Amino acid sequence: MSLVQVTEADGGSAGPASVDAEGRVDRRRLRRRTIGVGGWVGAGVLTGVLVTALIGPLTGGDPLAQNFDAILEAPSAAHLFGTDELGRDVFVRVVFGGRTALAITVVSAVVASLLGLVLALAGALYGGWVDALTSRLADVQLAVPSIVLAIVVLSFVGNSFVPIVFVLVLGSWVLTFRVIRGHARAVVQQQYVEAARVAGAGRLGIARRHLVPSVLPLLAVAFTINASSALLLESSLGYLGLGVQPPDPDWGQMVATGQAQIFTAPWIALFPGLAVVATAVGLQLLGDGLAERFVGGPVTRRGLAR
Amino acid sequence: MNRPDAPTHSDPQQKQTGKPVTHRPSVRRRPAVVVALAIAAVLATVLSACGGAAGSADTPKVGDELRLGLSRQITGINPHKGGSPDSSGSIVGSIYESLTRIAPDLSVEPGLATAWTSTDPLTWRFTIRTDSKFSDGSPLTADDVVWNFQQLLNPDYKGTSGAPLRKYLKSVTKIDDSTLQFNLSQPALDLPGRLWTIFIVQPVFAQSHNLDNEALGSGPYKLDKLDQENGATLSLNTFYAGTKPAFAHVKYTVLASEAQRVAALRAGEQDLILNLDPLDLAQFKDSDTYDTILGVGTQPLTLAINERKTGTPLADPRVRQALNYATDKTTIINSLLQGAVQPLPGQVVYEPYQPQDPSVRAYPYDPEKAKQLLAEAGHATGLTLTVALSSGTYVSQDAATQAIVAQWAKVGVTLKITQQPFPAWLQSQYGPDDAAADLYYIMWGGSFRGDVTGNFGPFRSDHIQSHLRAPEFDELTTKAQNAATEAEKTTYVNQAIENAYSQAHAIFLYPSPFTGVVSKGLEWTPKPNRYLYAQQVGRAAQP
Repeated sequence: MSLVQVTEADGGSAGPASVDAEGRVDRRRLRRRTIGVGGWVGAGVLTGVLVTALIGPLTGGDPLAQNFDAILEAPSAAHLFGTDELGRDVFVRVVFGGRTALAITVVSAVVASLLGLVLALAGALYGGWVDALTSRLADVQLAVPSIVLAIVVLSFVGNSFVPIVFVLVLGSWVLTFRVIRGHARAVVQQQYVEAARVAGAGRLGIARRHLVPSVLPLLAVAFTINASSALLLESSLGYLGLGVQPPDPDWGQMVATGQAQIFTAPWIALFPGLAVVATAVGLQLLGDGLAERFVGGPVTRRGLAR
Repeated sequence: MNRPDAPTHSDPQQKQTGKPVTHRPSVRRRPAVVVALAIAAVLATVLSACGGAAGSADTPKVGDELRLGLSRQITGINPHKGGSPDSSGSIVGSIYESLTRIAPDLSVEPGLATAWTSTDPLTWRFTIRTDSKFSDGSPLTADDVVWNFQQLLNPDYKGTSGAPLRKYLKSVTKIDDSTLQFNLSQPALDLPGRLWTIFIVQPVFAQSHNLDNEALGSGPYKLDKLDQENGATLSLNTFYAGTKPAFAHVKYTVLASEAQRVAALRAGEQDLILNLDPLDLAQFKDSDTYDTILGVGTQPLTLAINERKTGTPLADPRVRQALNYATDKTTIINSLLQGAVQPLPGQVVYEPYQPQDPSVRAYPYDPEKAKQLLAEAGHATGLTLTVALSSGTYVSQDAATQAIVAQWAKVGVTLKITQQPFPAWLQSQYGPDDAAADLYYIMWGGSFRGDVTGNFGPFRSDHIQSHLRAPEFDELTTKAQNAATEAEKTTYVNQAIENAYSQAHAIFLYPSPFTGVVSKGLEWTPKPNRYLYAQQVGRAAQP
């Protein structure tokens, strides 16, 4: 199954609840809405993860430093999260693993969101074969399970940064595309867009002045969901040994390594596992909060709900 | 191809050692559900981690069905295609018989053949049993054996076990119902040993069935069901002529990851599993249910070298020697391998399984010497190399390789790891030199004492998975294979060993650790070649 299952957003709607019929953001309605407690919790968790990842290296720890005199040591003051089978400090590896995971996740989510946005706007503006082609591309992508595609590509291309980002983008751009396309198609049928067209505005002008501002809130929401999907897929690849390669730390890879020792040295898998769960839940909560504020409902992995 | 891990028996060193979400309520509940599930997952992990000791079953119980764990997926059970001891090979050897068998100490012992003699260097006669029957009740005759060899000698036959045979075997003829004559084109001093992998299948069945997933042999068991992803079930061959095995039913289960193997043992779901990381054995040491095995395996682990990549620094023997000096085998062995083995003695053969050349010793750990050699070779500023790993294939390989990465970094060599699933990893070795990795963490080895082809074949330039350029080694091993006397064979083998050492045609690491966990309810003589034949597992005597 694809990690990102998307259905068409409600094409008959003029757009998110906080966007009026002319595509303008209704700031009064927006002010009435907040991202909610969940959203703030999500934002807090993500901030914590980001700050830890950013300042972690300042602690001077080396995620690759091996110490064969201190293998499989339980958490202690010297090693907050214990040590692994090579005597490496699990805390330091979780912190540095977060940098890798977040970098890959953010880059993948940005590229996937931009790709989805561009294809969706092109489909909405040009219609006809362009829309048909982009939609069929999305259908094809949905038909191929992301994880299977990733395994095949990475097995034979190698597992450096660019191929990993490539498979993550392939696995998650459809969500943005589907959500944005449905809304954008509705907007281009609005009278004010028609009026702009009659007044001589070109497609790019319409996209810049009307479509992009209108879809930005949706894009923000889709981005968080994309990021969550990308993080989970990246962790899955690491777990399968196809993500970031050892000895560089990676959360999924650390969970896989520690799995066989879950009964004797649970800290090896537990802490990176918790890090993945916290970050993914944080992204989901923030996404739900943003959706509540901008859209008036959730943009789930299944699309824009009405 | 030569199997990456061929067998060897013996255990002298038993150290024993969509649809859119349409209703609002779910909007607010979903985060709560996610959080709850996440917390539940974490709690479950922690609770299970804090759970009881390994194998908490009350007493060792082994039922009517013997449960054996395999550590690699089954690739088919064709008796003419060979197979890894960790998967297909163990099943094939329980269903089929061959003329000879390999004992735990890697000596050759009778199988279907009860005796053999060489009348001249190119002629051998084998006396075979006349009471053997296939599992359908039909007798196994001398004609059946001849038919099997005829197939394998046909260059168009798809059974891959025939390729090495055709290099030295001209024909097999029936003298009488119990005597076969082997006519060779090259002398083969170790012919009986070479024949242990040639399993005899019933000819009529073979011509009308797919031997990759169907079987009819004369071994102690017959195949009931095969699922290559998950395992196989066997039951007794009621026509088997030998000693009746202890278990009427056998279930082989594929447990391809270390975590799967550990979990299955902790749940008491398996009676015998091999290939666990030495560090993971500790959790079963005090078990009431299981005994643990930690010993020396029969095959060596090396880093196989790609010497043929365009512009590779590994074409220079000084660089290869430097990498040998830069590898601290002892530290890896004492920590990750729990002291189970000793470093390889500068050669891929070692006692007690294979005769080793006493004049060659292990490359000591000497980072300064390594730096000096690298500088002489023009790499004073360092170099970058890649090593390919097959995820989960060899005991402790991931951690051991990461230790090597750290060791080589000290002499200025950046070693980058590429993990691949087994098929992709294998495929990259078959492919062109320039597309292959610089190094492969791999286990190779012979299956019987003095097995020149098995011991040294993978290190020849002409091996299908080799990326070596070793003309002198090739010539010496060819001479050893075709030697007419044992003395001549030993001379050429030792010269080949000395050549491989001085030219450093491999990064010599250590023998593979032989590890396993066995139910106390079983009686099993450990087989360091890892072949897990069901007929060799008995029930422990009751107190």
